[in-house]
Amino acid sequence: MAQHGVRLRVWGPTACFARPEMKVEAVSYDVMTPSAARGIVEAIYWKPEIRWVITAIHVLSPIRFMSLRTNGVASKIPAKGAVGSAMKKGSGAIALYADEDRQQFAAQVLRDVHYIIEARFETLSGSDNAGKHLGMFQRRADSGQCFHRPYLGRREHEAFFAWVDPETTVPAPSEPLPADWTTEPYPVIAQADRASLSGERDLGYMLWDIDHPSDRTPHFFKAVLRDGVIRDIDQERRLA
Amino acid sequence: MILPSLIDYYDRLVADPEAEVVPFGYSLQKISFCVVLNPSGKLVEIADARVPVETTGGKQKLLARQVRVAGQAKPSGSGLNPCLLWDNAAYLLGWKADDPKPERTRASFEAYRDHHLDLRKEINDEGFDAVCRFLETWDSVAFEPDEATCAYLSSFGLFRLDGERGYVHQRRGVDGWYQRTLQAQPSGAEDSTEQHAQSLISGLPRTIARLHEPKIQGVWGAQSAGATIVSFNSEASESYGKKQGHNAPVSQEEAFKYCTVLKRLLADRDRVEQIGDTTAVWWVDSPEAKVAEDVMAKAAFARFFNTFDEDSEDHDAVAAEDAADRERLKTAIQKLTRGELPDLDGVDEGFHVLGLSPNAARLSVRFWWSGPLRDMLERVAQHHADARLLPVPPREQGRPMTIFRVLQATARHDGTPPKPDAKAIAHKLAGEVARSVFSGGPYPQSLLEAIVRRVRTDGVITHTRAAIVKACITRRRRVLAGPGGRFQEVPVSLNPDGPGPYQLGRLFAVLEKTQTDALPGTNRTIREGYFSSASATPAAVFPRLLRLSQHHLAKLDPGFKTNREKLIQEVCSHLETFPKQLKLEEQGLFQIGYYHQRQDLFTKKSETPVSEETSE
Repeated sequence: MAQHGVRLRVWGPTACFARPEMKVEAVSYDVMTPSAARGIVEAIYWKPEIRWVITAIHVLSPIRFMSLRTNGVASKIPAKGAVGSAMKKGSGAIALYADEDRQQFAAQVLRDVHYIIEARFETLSGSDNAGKHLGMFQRRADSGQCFHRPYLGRREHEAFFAWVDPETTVPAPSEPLPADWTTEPYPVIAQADRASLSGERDLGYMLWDIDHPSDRTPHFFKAVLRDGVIRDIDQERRLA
Repeated sequence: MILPSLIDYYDRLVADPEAEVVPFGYSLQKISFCVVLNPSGKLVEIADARVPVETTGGKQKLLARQVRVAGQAKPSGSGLNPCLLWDNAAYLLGWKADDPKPERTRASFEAYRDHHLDLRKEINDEGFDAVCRFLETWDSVAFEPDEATCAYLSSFGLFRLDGERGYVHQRRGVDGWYQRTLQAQPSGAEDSTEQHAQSLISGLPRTIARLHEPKIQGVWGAQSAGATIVSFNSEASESYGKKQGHNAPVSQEEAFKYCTVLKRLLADRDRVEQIGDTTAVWWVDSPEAKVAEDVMAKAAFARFFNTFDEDSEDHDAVAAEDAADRERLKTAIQKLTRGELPDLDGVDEGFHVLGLSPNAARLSVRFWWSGPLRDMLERVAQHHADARLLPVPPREQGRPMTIFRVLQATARHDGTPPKPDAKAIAHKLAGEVARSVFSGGPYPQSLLEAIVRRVRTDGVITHTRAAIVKACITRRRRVLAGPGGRFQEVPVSLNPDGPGPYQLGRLFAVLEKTQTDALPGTNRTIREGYFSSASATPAAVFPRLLRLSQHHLAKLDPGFKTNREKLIQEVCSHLETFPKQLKLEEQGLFQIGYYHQRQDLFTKKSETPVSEETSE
């Protein structure tokens, strides 16, 4: 099975990669999770013939939190009940009245995040024409095309993205970022104090992905941030 | 990693026999009565198990005693769920005060009896046998307790054999059996919906907790029965078809550990502080770091240090251990307050701060910091260094700039020392300020905004307020400059060459003093009328104020007048124009300039050698 790597730079003013144990009154992981990264890559380019695998996540901005209060609702519209019968009949009530079902949630979200996602894809079926998929991904990422707007953990945290040449060296936390990486509409304050990313930081067990075929079971992997990078995510996963 | 840190702390406590932590599978329950049986299962008496406690009024009161029993909290809900060898009077004796549903009570008792009879063979213990015999022969319908007995049948009860000191559930045969079942089947048999999955804490396959218990009590404003951090109490919070705790795979044992230890931490008043709506709790990885932890806690949080002085009784309460410790604590806090790192033992230990705020039955995490205590001390010292502003009025000297004090300064102020009023503080701000202090990041822009706006409306610029304004501006500039970067310092004490907005503040202070010197006892000074607009839109105000000051100057003694004119000229020489508008940060600088110049004008010259130009 052929494997091919790409790099994608993503950033945004806020992000929330909620920990499962604290996802109601949400507390974000310190760093983007591999499944969130996969979601972003797939938003830009995906075909049934390929499968994306996240291999590394580079953290470019210091890890900072802020709190956020959001309004939500307590219930879901039942997919099998109201929606199902409405689909059969062609009419029916499938509304939720937010003001009657109000819930307020507090969240600890990340602010001013900036990452480089390293991913590769495996060809599952069809002709093993990697160049075609690579080319399409690059063209789409370069021109800002996406199937749906990618987001940083939750829909309300918009993600911006840019293509990065896979050969580029990502600067270590002690070095400044290249000028063109900060010319984007991006808060200056987040570029300072990158040194705090140096060294090793144990992030504990982090959500790796959801195993949808086996009863949508979550899997976790031991995440360690070394000099701003979580590496070998796919291999770490196998060891866990 | 909040939960793993709590679990580590629990494991340390369990290893320490003095800590008296409840191990997994047990819980402390309020026991008010005890059924005493003889070995053949005959009732001897229903004894009062309460203990007398001295109340504040000097009276004695009977309170239920805490006993460690097998099993977790009494399950809620309407099902029949008998506990092992403990329960309320309905289960234990088939009796309930003013019973509206006697059938239900009888059913409870029968369920309780059957549950124990089922275990009889398996447990095979004399004491347990006696209980079984009692349950078989007990006639719950005929049972009518007298009034005195009714008084203590309100809470939970236990069994005891006549002549024995311990309770039946503590007998070796019974407890041994219970521990064996715990290990064989760590889940407890009653939960039929249990699932196995990879735990998100240890990464190992475990039985997953559906509900996280015991519930966490002690968070101010949360439900008094307790609330939970990990909670999926509405349908919208559930994902992927998972129910309740299965959304967050934490094992039953892990859930028990972190809940128990957090509950215990929150009950320890030395480690809990209220910041706005947030209840902050902290702990350190080693007991050796106690003094360092105390220093840290006092300098960053403690409210009673707002009235810090050596003779106060509060101070005795702070560190009653011994005089030497207290002395060390005091010097360390003073050092930290000056922005220096104190010399303490145990600073390399891990330190954790967790801020929780309530949302009805749920708890949300407001802030979380974890790292070496040294880092935290450095940050608290940095916070104090950033807020260093001279001169410090005598009654403020040595007072740490605690988070609470910062927040308090945002509340309304009528010129007299403000009383702590947690309600006047924006809740969100409290968490954000705490986070900035812990993380070393910039203070929230809303803090600067809150103070500057508050000063403009109150017209009161206290040392604390000026210091916070200075800290906000300094911290932001430093963070923007990056590590080792150069940035423009904000004046700590009166600086004749300060930036423009700062000079405007100075000028305003001089003009105000000139007015009060010329017209002592004026009801309304220019501060009351013009402070707000002068600091926001100088061009619209200052020309008028300068004209007005000519009349004031004319009223002064000639020598005095010349000196004052010189001072006004000196300040004006630093100003090119009066700007139309000042931005938030510039308004802050205006207020600092005002504070410095005003303090200088009111201080005798001999005490302030810095301010030669104000010689009169």
